[in-house]
Amino acid sequence: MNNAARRTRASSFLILALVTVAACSPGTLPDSPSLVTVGGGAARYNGTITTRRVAGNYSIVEGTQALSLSLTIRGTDQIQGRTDAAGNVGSLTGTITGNLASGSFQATLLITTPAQQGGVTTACEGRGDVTGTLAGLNLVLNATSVTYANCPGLTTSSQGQAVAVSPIPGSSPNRANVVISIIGGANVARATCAGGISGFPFTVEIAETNGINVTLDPTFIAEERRGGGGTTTSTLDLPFTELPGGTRRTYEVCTLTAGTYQAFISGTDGAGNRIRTASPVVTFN
Amino acid sequence: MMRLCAVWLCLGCLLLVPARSDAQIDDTTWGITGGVSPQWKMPGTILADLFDATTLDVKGPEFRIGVIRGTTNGGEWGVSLIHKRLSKESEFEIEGTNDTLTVVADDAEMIGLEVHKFFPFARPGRVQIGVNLGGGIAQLRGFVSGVQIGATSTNFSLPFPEAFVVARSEIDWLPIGRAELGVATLIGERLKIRVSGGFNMPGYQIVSLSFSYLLGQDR
Repeated sequence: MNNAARRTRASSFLILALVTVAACSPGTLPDSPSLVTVGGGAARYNGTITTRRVAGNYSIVEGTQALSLSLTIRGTDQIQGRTDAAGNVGSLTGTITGNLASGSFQATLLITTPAQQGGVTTACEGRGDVTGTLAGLNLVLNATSVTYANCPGLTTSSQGQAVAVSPIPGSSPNRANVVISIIGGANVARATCAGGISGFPFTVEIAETNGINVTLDPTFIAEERRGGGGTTTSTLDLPFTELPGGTRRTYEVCTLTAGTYQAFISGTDGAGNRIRTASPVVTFN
Repeated sequence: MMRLCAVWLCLGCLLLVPARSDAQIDDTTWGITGGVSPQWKMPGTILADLFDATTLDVKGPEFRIGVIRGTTNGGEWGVSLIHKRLSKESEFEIEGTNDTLTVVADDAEMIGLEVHKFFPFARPGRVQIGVNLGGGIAQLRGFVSGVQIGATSTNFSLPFPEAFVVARSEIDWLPIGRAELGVATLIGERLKIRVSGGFNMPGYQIVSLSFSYLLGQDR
């Protein structure tokens, strides 16, 4: 093959390459972006939430407010979320049936709501059970009874709806994100605990995912229900109080009888924010 | 009883080592030292308050290596690296605000530096009888299991210093020290073997075996 023929062939390849690149360049993409699809491991939703005071001699901001909600699936059956409604930040932890595109969830909502009583504003720390449905891009949630331990008598209810706007959870700058999850799943089968005892062993993981240090409170709360009986609440010492940003700690639990377990942990992050979060309800069966 | 017999046997052997007439290093010189305590332990209740513990049963071997300066016939002082390993049977209980944390050593140890000096006060032949005093500081390292025992037991894997957090303290460093009665014998002109026993803070040891080897020139 002579030099002229080689040059011609090289030029042909170059032209072909340029045409191919041009065909795929951003300038040739369709004008409208593709629709957000939900079904992976996380999503960010924007919508509204309506909060009502059900009981209690407090006044709160009632009515409809903007809601921003980020959800992340952890493991196969656990869901962790962060809500922000007009600056009132909360955490949402629970279990999911199905997936983010088609499913339902049950979770515990921990939220801080400013409430006034006698001219004094208190940051009321509320807790309530939340149920929700997920269908396509749409999310609907319902918390029928949120009670506030430090604001006795106050009970609220909330209903929200939102639409997925991104498969990437929203960031929470200057605020730690502490996530409690159960390694291996929230449904625990009978097995052998340490020491060879028959029971329900599982591992709880506490992780900070936003790179901000957290000083945990020296105690945590474990709520248990054994054999279909009433709920037992135990305040236990937490043997570690430092959770550096981006790190995780674990502890192992063994209970001998069937029932449920849920842990509640609180602390203060490096930016001074009060952090409260719960584990999913662990079911022994 | 067996341990006591072993100690007396060791002491007897040291006294019976035949003396040699080699030249000895009488000028102060540098040397190396090392030693082992088969079992160092912290007694159950005496030191418990020091660690905010209710019970204490900590034990394990101790290893030492360091440099010394001394003479064949005289005493010696030195600096040694101390490694106290906690056996997996080591256990102590910390009274927290709401419950008791039972701490079991998984892979825990103390590593520190100690300055020590052996003062011989009697020299029958090639044997020295004296006291070994020392002091220093050690770092708590490794991991322990902290267990809250109840109908539901909770087991935390903790860095050793965090074992005391439930009592509102975190112990990273611990002062160490020793006050032992010892008998040493010269083997050749450079080597001393010493058997000792006594306080090895925080705790004590029944028997400890150590050697010193002087590196200086003979006279």
